[in-house]
Amino acid sequence: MLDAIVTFGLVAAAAVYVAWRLFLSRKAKQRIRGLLNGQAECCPADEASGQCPGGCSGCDHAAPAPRQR
Amino acid sequence: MLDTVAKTYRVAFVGNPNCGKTALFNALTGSRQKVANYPGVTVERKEGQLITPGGKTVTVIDLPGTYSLRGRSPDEVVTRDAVLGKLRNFERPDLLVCVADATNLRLILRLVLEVSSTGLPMILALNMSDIAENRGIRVDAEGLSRELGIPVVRSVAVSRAGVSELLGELDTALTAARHGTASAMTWAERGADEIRQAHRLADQMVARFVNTPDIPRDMSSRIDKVLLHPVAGILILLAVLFFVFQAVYTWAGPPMDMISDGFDALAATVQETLPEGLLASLLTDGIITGVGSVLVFLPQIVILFFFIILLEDSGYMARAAFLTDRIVGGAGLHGRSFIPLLSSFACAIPGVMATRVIENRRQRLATIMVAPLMTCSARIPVYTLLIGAFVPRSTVGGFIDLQGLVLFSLYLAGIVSAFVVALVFRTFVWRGKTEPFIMELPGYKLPMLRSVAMGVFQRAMMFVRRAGTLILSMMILIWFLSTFPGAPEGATDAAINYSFAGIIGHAIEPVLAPIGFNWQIAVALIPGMAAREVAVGALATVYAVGGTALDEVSLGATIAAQWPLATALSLLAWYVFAPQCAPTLAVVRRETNSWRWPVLMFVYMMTLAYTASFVVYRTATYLGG
Repeated sequence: MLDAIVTFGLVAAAAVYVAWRLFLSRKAKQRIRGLLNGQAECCPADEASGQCPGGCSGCDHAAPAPRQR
Repeated sequence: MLDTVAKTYRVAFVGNPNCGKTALFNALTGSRQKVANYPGVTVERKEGQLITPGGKTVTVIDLPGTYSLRGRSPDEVVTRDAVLGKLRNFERPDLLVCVADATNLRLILRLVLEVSSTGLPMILALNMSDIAENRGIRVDAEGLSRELGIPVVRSVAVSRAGVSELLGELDTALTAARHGTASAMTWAERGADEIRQAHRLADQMVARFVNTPDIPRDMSSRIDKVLLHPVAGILILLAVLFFVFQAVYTWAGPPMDMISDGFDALAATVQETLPEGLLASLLTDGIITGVGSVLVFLPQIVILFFFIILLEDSGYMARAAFLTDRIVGGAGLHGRSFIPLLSSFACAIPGVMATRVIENRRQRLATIMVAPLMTCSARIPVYTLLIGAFVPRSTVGGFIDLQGLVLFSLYLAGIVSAFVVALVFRTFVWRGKTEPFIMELPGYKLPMLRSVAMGVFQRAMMFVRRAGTLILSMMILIWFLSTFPGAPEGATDAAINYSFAGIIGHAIEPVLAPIGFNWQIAVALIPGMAAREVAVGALATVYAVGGTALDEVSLGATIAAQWPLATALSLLAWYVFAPQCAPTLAVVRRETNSWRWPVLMFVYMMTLAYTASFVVYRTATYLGG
């Protein structure tokens, strides 16, 4: 029984890893990361600054905003 | 006080190609970005962090080399836009470090004059000062500093000389920049008169502050007389490449046997320790056999990259680009295509990205389309397995290793087919003139042992990491697909025939039968789309679950016993052409910003692969193979 649990656990982990590496888009990965971290979903960049307008982190726009420097 | 603590300064490195920007970047930040002794290695910005002696936190940005801010090729556009603060999500730097090749200051001085109009504070780093000194070139750094109105520092990036002086200057300049008014942006693209004026100014400065000996004490030009000879040079290049492939085969044997024995011992230990069951089968037939059959090729990859890095660092690769320019140009490619094509021997992904140095869009697209035809390192496990299994270990003419000769021929087949395909594209798809290739040949340098060792280590770790992550995971899935569902009661065939892998393999087999592929190969080709070398591990696992091979050596023996020679030759031909790498297609999509080119690449490469395999298989079968 334990033999089967460990084996299928390894197979499931491998399937998740392969799916993550090969099949999920960058956007989907960001969304999952956000959900796992309990963060809000990424919003579009602020038009004027091209930066994150605030409220989330983890996407391309979330480079440190000028006002933080 | 709060400002001092919170502020992260941004310092960008600009300079001409191949002046050592990345080497200086690595020396300052402790990064390990690729450096080589030829222009065009860096095609996108790289960032690293450092803390100055004065406690300032600095983000250092390494930018692609450029001769001006005009931005004619995609990599030059990155540099221009970064300096001008026009890149999306990229804040303008607080300070620029202009990195100069101290042996050749004319072009960098012109760039310094152009960049000074951006209003950004600057420091000039005279890199490779040791080589300049050896050649008898004396630079009056103080005079230059006074003339340009910026600090000038001497440095030797590879030995970290001058790094502390540069850090000190960074501290001073950043403090001044914080209180200064560097925001005035006055740069505008210059007209021909202004460019000529800047050239004159640069020439005057070189005349005043650089003292070059009348007779260059330079070995490079004497060596070049031989190595760049139109006939002797090509023969030497072929001999060098031939020696490398011979070495890959002959030197890698003992360490490969050791790794193979290690995995055998590990599998035996697991079998003895664990009771017979699913887990034992997964570990031995799936993980150890699959991953082991890929990792066994590590010595060959290490030897190949040792030579490539050695040739790059010595300056010989740039000569190879010069020598092959006529051939590359004859195929309608630009001379600058050589470096992307060379990079593709490691992996097509950096090769495709390196095409950013090509200004002409048609020539850039043609180079992108043929880059995957160059033999990447992921093909080595497949080639080695098949050559080891089907080509006898003998010599030709008493000293040429036959297996090495076949490997060399496969590499040559990739190169020749790339040129032929490029010629077809340039003749029928992207017509137009081939632009002349102007390249500044770097001086010869004794390769730094540390740099070579680091480059080889990085390549080896990349291979091992891939084997330990993606390949390991895929081997587990292949094992699962080869094991489940089990054979039904009363079944007479081997259990694997009833598995998911067996069902998939048998379904694809009719399509691949005309080129001599059996269902096991069909199964191996599917995960091989993710990474070519996975096909070897997949074959090992499929045969192991089927009850035959256990490692690469016995996998070789198994396929040698079960496959006709025609099938092996057909599979080799397939791997020369097949687009068996989804990540490469994804990068082509990103670089061309269109799905049209990756789709065209997939279709033409698949057609070539199938046709070549068909011809090879039918011919070999006809001849009795």
